[in-house]
Amino acid sequence: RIYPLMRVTLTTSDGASVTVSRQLTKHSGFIEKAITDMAVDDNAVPLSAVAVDVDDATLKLVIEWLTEHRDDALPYPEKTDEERRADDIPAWDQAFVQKWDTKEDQQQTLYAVITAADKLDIKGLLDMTCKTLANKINGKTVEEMREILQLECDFTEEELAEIRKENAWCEN
Amino acid sequence: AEIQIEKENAWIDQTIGMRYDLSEVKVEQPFPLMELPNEIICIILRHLNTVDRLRARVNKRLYLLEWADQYQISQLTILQGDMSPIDPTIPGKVNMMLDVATLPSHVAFLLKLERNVRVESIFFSVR
Repeated sequence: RIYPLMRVTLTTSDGASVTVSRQLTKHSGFIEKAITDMAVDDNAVPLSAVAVDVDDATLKLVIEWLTEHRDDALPYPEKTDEERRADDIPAWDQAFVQKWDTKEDQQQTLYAVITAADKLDIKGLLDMTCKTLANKINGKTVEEMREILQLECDFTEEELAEIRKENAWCEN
Repeated sequence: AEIQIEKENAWIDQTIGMRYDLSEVKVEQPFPLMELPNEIICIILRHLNTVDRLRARVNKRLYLLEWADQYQISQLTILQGDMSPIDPTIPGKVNMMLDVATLPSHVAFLLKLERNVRVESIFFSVR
């Protein structure tokens, strides 16, 4: 289904509002459901505002991603465990994420976009950002993972010994 | 006073710049993983290869989430000789080197797999 004319106004958690094409918002399960629940005419221009629990800065990034991916097929293809991999992020998406790496709050931005993709139910964006985080962890030692994720070891000595035993075959 | 200190220190900054390309220095900041809901953490775990997934059990919550999330390995190869435990070109394939010295670890790993992993095929290669 194509929505060439229809536009949707989104209001952010910090009070901003952005009007975007329905061609972009069709990728968001949350916004599509909100529009369906309003039971308005598809040709109404613009629609009543849809409130999203995402701040303005993060929504701008989400819209930038949606604009690039506006023609992606829907529904988002689910992958099996055998097909799933983290090293197949498209070049545009890699460059999009790398832009944040120059920021001081790079990880906070990644966190904000992951949670926004989850709240707005944008499967492609959620998948891509989760892959990005997985790539930051892939190939790291347990100690490095603890450092990146800032996690304390809360295992007992016995639990830790059991995990080390299960992991020992692949550690050398 | 600040300008004076900047002036006095300028030569140090220049010297460091000559020795190291500071633009290349990238500090990885910590990611607030534990603030994410369990469902998203599970998606991230599913994007890790089997070895990194095992290593990612760095605290109790991650251990339990990894345990609770069922997944599938397409081929488990148990073989003699040196080989990387994972094949980056084939997701879902795991190579386990047969080594008497680390046999208890192999058994512990197989018992761990039994909890939440479906192995589609097992391939033995013993010379």
